[in-house]
Amino acid sequence: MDILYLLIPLSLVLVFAIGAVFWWAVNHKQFDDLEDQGKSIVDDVDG
Amino acid sequence: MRDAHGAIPDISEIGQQQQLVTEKLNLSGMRCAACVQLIEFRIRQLPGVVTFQILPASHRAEISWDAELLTLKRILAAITDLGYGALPTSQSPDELEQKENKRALWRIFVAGFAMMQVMMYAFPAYMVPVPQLDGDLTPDVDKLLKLASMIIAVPVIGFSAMPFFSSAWRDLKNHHIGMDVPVSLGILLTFFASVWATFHGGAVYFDSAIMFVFLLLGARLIESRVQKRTTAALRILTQLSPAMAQRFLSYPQQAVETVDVVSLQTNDYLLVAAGEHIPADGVVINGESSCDEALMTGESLPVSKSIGSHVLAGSVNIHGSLVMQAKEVGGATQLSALIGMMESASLEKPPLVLLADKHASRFLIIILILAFFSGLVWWQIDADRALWIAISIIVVTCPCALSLATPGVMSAAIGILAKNGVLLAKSKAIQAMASATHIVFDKTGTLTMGKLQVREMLLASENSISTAIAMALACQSTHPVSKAIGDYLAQRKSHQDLPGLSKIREVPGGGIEAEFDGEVYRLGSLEFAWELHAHEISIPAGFAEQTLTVLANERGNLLWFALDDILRDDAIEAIRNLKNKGKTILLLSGDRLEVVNKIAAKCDIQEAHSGLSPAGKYEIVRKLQANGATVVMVGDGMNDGPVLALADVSVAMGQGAPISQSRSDVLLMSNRLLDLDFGMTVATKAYWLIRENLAWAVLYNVLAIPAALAGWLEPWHAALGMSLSSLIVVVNALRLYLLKQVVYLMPD
Repeated sequence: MDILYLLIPLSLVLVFAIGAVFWWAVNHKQFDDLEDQGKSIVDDVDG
Repeated sequence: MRDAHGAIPDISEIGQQQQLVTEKLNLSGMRCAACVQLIEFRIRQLPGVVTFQILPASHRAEISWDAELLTLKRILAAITDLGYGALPTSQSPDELEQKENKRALWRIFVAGFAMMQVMMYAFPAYMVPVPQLDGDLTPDVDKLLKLASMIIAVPVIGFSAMPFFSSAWRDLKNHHIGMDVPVSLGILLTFFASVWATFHGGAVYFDSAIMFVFLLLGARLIESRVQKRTTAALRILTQLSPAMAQRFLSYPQQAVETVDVVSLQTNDYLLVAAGEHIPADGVVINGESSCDEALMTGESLPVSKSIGSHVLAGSVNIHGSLVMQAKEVGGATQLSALIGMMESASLEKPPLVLLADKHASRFLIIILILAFFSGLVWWQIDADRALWIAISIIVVTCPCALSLATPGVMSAAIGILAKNGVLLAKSKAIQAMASATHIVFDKTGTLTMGKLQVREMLLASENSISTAIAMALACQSTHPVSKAIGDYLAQRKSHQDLPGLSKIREVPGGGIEAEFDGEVYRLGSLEFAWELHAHEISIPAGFAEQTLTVLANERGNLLWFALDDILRDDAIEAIRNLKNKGKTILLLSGDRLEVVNKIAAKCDIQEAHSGLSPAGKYEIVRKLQANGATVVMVGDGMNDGPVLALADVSVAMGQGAPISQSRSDVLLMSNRLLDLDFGMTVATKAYWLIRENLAWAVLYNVLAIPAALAGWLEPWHAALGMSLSSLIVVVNALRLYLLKQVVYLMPD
């Protein structure tokens, strides 16, 4: 089971990476408004 | 983001010629998606606006503009011109709280995420002892998994659990053992002992520690959300007042100027368009509309307003333009008084909670000592387990029911009551309301509408100036009787010069007295007048069953006024409900026997006393209390000062005295007696829930602590037990929201 010596540290790295990406997403307002960007396609905007 | 013309601005140009300013705004009044589009469209058209984006979910907007072309004031004015409210976020009390909220959510996320990961690492160790599985865990891999668990636990201890540590540290510095002390101790001991076990062998409990942090944070979050529901009402109140108002430069000329609400003054003439919030307390001079006063009085249907109607700052003018004259502005409005009252009530801790806090502290010290000594004892018996058993004892005991649950129930109760028009000025009133035995009602303005109308006037003797004097006296007081007489006389003889009076004084429970032309005149009850002239009184025919007021001088009664007193439409039902709850109802009034008995008969009140002076009322309440009764007194807040102070709970009708002058424990903002009945239901249930929570806390600790002492509990059992116990107690408080809330239809 030597492969565990690679996999377990790798899983740790992954955990921290996921946490970091989530932190970035929240801080850059990715989750703030999930609907409006999609709706803006059908809006009546001149030009 | 698109600019005013819908095109994406060239980045290189921005910042060079422009003074770019960014601001966040809180918007209010947007009721639909079309509103959002409208505001975005119009504001983006303003010259100088670079970007403007509304976040509809949070009612916020972000705007950046060129400071040389535009000011924030102009932007806010543009939004309010459209009929919406706008305030810079930095000025709202929300901002700091939002940051705190975000941090709290992050902590829970880190703890939860780490908990899931650490379970994965801990799983193999759980499986090894199971004989059916042919498992094999070599010491190397075992250490690897433990190391991984330790690394995952570090952010949890260093970040997520920080609030517990800082709170415990604060408590210890104040020589006080608070709830967070054993929690912090438990977490830290578990963590460091597990770290030691990682390198020197033995069982590790990182999973327990992390799960503990996660569950506790969860319970605290739910509890703070419950608290927030109360303060949410408060925050909405603070945002009700608009930032700008339209003031007439010189009414009745039509020119208006837009001014800051803070610069408004009494007697300013203001224009309130449809959809706007009213900027000050005042009177309608022109126009007809209806206003939504729901957040202030709990009245769910709009109230129609026409010339002469009173309007409240913060309410919404729904469909028609109104011209009003401001009577109270800024800090003197009812809205401000309401906010002040709710703030001080929410800061206050009722006696029960203070008591609980005191006991919780002693309890915790005992537990810590107990844990220490049992650790020593177990050291002799089975040294390996000693530390874990001591930790289990510390962790499993929960004074949470004492420190957590009671505030939860109280907050929920205050919030629900506020939504139904019952404002709790002193939170200790809940306790007294739950245990009330007798309810004492005043008559005028409480059981009756207080909107007295003069039905008939009789001149007892020919005296040309008597009506003028009566009017002059009536104008000196705000008592409903005086108002009714003043209105009646004004309609009959308007524009008459009022004589100048001297030595004016108002006697509570009696009337008004003044001197004119060397003679003393009194306007008030029959007794009050009798004290002046001591003549035999014969009540004119047909006046017997009415509320009577007379104008008298030393020679006798000059004018008789018969006043109509309308019973509140929900009075009969409310009293019936209260009697069904087992409360004894009394009616105490200064009015005459026939009138009082008529009302008592209608409401089915068995015990009614008439002709009482304030001292008489005081005496009756005192006697009741001497016999062990808990008395709720319902009155109009001003005239019955001493009695209200004597009663265990004093309830004042909201339409009575101005809020700022009311000294009562409870304000019935909606003026509906059925809401008082609902308030009693809520208080009783709240008190019951508090007792349930305390019972559960005792039961849990009685079972859990011996179990921990006997060594039956693993640390994770302890962690789970403590957290779940907290959660149960907090969720139990939420049961208060199951109470059916009163919904009523306004009579036409």
